[in-house]
Amino acid sequence: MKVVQISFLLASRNLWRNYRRTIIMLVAISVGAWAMIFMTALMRGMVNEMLRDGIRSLPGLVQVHNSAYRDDPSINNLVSMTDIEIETTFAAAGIERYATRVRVPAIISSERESRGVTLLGVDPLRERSIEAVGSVIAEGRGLESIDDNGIVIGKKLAGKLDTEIGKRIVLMSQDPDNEVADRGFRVVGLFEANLAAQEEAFVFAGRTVVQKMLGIDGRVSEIALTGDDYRNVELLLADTRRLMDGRDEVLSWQELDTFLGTMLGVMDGFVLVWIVVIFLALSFGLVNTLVMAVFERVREIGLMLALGMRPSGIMLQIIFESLLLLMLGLSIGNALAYASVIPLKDGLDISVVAEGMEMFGAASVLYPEIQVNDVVLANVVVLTLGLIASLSPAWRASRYEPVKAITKV
Amino acid sequence: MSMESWTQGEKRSLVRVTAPKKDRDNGTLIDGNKLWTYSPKINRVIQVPSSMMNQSWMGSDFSNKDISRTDDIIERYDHRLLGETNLDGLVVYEIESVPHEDAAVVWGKEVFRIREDNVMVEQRFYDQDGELIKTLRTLEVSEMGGRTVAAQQRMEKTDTPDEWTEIRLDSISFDVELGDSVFTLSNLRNPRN
Repeated sequence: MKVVQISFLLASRNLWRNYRRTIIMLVAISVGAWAMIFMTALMRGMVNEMLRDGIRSLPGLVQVHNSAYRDDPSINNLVSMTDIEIETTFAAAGIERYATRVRVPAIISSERESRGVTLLGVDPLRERSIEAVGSVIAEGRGLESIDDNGIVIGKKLAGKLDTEIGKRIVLMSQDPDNEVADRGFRVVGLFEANLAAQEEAFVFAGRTVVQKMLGIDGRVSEIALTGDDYRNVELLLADTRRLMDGRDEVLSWQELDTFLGTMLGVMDGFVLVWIVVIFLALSFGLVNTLVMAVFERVREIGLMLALGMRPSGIMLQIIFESLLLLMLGLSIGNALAYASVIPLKDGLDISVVAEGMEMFGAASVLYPEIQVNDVVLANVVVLTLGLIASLSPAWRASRYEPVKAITKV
Repeated sequence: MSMESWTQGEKRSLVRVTAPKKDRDNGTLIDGNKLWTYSPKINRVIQVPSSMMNQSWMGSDFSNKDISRTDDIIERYDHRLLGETNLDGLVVYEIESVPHEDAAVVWGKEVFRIREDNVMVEQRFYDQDGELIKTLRTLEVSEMGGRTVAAQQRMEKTDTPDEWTEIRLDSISFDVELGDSVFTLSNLRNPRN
């Protein structure tokens, strides 16, 4: 125990003997740690926003469809239960955050333009409970009830159609007999989404109104369920599977949007690679510093050995030295990283490159997110690998022959 | 371009191009709400999907909807008599038709001018700001096949005053016996009459 204490004392004093070198090394480690954590936070922010956007536009963490619906989203492929059955089944199981929706491709036309969209017949109250796209109303009002006669379209779509709130547009789709089903709707509200593509893709109307227009009373195309944590959907998935009793296709968001699903895994791997790469650059500096410290003190080490210190004591001393250096550097780096995220709390505006970002589904405002496990990962990686890197100089110092070391000029 | 057409009742009609040669036998069949086109060049009958109903019919100023929707305007609109005027000694009724709230019509309103002998003189399409979008005007009325008909009609879009599509009737006969086989897809494809 005494050896540990002495080694530690010697290590900390040695560290400040050549304070210039120590400070340079500290700067290197803290900048490295800051870069690891801060850059990871930026990337996490971007990916998480992408995931949340993706899940919002799906929407939900788990969805139920007719097993043919995903290949052919037509009006003929509906969920096997009627909406009343769904309501009673889900209420009995205590599931509250779900929405039943009619979702069909449709044509929307104004006096001047017509475009293809996805028509969603929704229950506005339920829709809010799953935080789906379209719940953020920019102008006008949102849908108020399940039999609301109005329609809510995206702000961007309104511009493309050259229409506005209060005007009528016509929606055309097909009924189950492949006959044209069309109806006029008055635009009551414009919604806003993070991605312009979503503003052009979806239009929302009251569910019973859409069901009547399409002639599918009481039937829906999908059930969307949501929960609190998108990393953890197994329970919800199992519950829903049990409720649907194998009749329809129940899928999690990872399966519904495999791109998004893979993204999460890729991101976790990428963070580790990123941290290791930065560390590799850093480790050369660290090893070099320690090797120099050992070279400088060859005579001293020889003397200590001659006075009876065990080689393990010498080794411990060098390892302590690097440990102190690493810990100091890491704490400064962590503090820096946290400090630099605070002013970016309201998001980093990257709208200059928004168009490019949209192409892979990212929003134009970046919210850095420091995740505790990323910070822990960075610190653990730097500490372990740092200690491993310092093993070699420490080993060398402890293996000096006292006589040779003392007489070395 | 010259065409030949058959109509039965208010639901069914068939139009076929007879000249010029390169467009010959292009046809359109309308049965109720459905509309098919046939093009001999690709030898295919295509049902015009609802998405294309607003698009131009054979490149003209008429839309597919204009030619297929005939009488449902009576049920889908609220009508109001705006006034009566006199034209060539005949009373012309001016009727404003506003589509029902849920009607699948994009126009804000349409205004018709119809002569007392049932000849439509003018049909104007307005957008929801009350701006005129296009006008179908009857340029010539004459006696043909024993009835008074609009012999020459012109569709004009307000935005492009230099372009229009005109339809002129060369001859027409009424009360002709038509078999059921006239309004079929096979007849659209392989003309038998």
